[in-house]
Amino acid sequence: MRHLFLPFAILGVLALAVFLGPLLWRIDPLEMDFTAFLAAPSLDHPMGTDATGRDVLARFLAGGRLSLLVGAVVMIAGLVPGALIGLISARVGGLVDTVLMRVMDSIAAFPPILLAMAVAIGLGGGLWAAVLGVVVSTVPFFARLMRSEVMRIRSFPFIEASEAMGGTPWFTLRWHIVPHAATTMLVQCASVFGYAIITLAGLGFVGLGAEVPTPEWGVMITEGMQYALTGQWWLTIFPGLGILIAVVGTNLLADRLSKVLGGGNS
Amino acid sequence: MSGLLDIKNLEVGFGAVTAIKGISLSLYRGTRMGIVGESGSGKSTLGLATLGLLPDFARCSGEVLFDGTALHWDNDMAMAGVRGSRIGFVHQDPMGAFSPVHTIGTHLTRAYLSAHPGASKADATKAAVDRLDEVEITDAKSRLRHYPHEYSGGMRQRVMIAAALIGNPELLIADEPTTALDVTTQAAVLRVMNDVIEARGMGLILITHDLGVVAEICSEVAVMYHGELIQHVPVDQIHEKAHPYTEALLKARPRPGMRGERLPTIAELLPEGWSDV
Amino acid sequence: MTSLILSRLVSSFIALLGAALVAFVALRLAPGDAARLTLGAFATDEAVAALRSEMGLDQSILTQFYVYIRDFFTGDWGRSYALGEPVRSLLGQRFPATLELGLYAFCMAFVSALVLALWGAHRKGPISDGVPKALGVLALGVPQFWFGLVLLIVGFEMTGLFPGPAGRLPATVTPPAGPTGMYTVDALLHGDLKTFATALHHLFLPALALGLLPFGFLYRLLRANLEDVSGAPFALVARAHGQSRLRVMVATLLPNAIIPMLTASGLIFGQLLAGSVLVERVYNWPGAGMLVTQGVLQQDYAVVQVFILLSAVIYIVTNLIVDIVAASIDPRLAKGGA
Repeated sequence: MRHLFLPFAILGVLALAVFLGPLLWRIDPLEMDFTAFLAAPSLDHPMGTDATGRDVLARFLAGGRLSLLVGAVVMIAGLVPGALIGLISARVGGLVDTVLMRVMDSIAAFPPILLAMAVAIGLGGGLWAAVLGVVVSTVPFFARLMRSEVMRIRSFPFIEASEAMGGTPWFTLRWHIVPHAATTMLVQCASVFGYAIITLAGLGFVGLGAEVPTPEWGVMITEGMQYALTGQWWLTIFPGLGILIAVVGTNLLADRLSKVLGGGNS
Repeated sequence: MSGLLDIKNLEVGFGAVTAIKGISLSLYRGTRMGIVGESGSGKSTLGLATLGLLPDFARCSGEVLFDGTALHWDNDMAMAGVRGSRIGFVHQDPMGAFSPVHTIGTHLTRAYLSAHPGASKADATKAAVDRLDEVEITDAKSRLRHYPHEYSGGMRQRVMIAAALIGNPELLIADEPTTALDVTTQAAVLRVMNDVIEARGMGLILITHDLGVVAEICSEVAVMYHGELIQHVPVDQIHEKAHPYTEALLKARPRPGMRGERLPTIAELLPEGWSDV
Repeated sequence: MTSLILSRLVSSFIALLGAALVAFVALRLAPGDAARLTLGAFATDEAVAALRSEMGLDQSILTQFYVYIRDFFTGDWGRSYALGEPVRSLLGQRFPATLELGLYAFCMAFVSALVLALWGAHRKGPISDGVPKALGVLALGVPQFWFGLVLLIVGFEMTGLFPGPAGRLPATVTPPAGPTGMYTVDALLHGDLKTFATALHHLFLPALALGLLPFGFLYRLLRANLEDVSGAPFALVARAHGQSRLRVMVATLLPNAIIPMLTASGLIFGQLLAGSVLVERVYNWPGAGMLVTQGVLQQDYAVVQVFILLSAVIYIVTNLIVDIVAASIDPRLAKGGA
């Protein structure tokens, strides 16, 4: 558990800040301060203001809420179909397995962010189209991992023993396979969480994620880009640091979880 | 007088565990010593410690003298000059002891070249062929090009002996050389090892849990239990003045005529209170 | 070996068809009009109607898919309406810039990953092993486009050590003519060291930004593999033969640790292609990636579609090659075909 302290501390502080921060910092992320355009960080605006006088700290906090939310949504929306496909593939086998895995291979042949782009374009753009795109690109990872986990666990003698003692397939699945696969899937969930945040920001950067006034970290960087080289570094640096902290935190969590839980094959 | 190998007060620990608890032991030139004990008795650790090949987190104290000179385990270059060219080593796992992506020839020539720095590639290849001949691998020349997975377990173990001999060492440490092999292959590998040791007049430390093997090959036997050396005698005296633990070990062997009987465990055979050591 | 190649060829072909199907479906998810999608919101209704029949949208979905695949594999990639040029010639012109950038990024990533992983595995100190490990974790968490901006702020705005986001060469320098389209290579071929140095100077920051992610990935993979194989008995036995620690690391452990890295080449190329879409925009790098970003921003999707499917094709072909190469290095793979 000692190993998990650092990632939990990083993510905990970030989550506390973005969810409880607005209670203390009561500025609307869309509100414009006409007395301060492109103001450098100060006591009034700890992270400065942008070209339309909006408070960067308020936008940073709102962007963080959105990112963490998206991370959680992608994680769950990718895990459920992915785990089901992997489970069905492994249990049914044969032609079903072949077809399902070929489909997963085909999806995984695309670099995830480019596939997410294709889906987002196909759905006509916007934040939730982009989120769905990211979800689709995570499904094969969950599915392949679940399948290989089920196969691995099924080769253990205790499964045979359970079946020999009259355990129904459902019983074996519920009490033996799922609990064992859960640890590996948990690690995968953590890394997908971080991946979703960074990918969504990337999509926002090329114009396929959240739309412009929305405070989203990737979009904030895009908006601030033209000012990055004229001295207004705070517009790009802070949202980027936000992404960095969130993703490093979750990647670290995934690393340490797999170390603590042991085994697994990813 | 000092021996070929003098272990003085050697202690090895891993974390909270002390694997070897202050062992002193001497081996004279040309002597063949068997070190026996149960798994976990520290016998493999003793072999690796001598060569300075314990993992980095191991704590070592005490001294090992080879041919009168102390070995400096933390000096990798100095130890590299001892390993292979003065002390050969045979590992217990004939499967894992070869790098799967390198040919047998590569393994042998590398071993030769590190014992003879500056020697030519042709010399190395010739030495490799000669050593394979010595351990009775037929058609050695063409077999150099083969990969480890193309060899059988018994052949790999003989190749490992060949590789250990290629630097002309004066002492061979063989760590359970036949444990992973089936019984008939075991006998063949042991015979080959015995022959080359005898022909070269080398010293041998044979680490094993098989007292039968020791009786066949070795002249002395050292018994280890829980990291301690509890007995060190000429092999023919082992029955006469056996330590209670050695006696227990001897009785725990299966013998002809025991059919139907359960083999006793060491714990049952030990005298009351003895296992508290 | 022949049967391995044959079976890999067949499965690669199936994967290609599958990838084409995925791209076909993904880009037609919307209930809306693909012709409208291609032309963008500002096109006239007549233009959309003309394109509808040109694209065969009035035909059955199977015919459409057949035409889609046929066109893609025959190189008939359509035309960009914003730039008024065929996609194929556009990508052809721009690809050398992306290739050059990717090549430098890959080399920087690979060499530094190799050196740091070997150094850390050889000498497990807090500096030699701890710092690179932390870097590896950071590298996977840094958004590439943001890192590109940070590099510009530090390397250009604050210190002036590197050129700004001005593309591949300053406007005053004539790009070297010919044959590869990669400026550093062409300049060297013409013996023009000055242009070579200038082109390299412009390449450095974007290559660094693009290479960070593959660096993290490769470093972590290699470091973990080295750790795995250094516990193998053959590592111990090689040292028992009198080889020094360093020699065992390089000659015995590295070849064993590097084969699993080969399998990751397809992923790395994918990362570089996807990364070029993000990084080129930051540096105004006139490559294929920027073409894609512009396409998305102007809702001119012809180039985007082709680029996305091409990325999958490159991945599949790379994996095919890697499987065959790996089998020829590691003799066990050729037999088992695993």
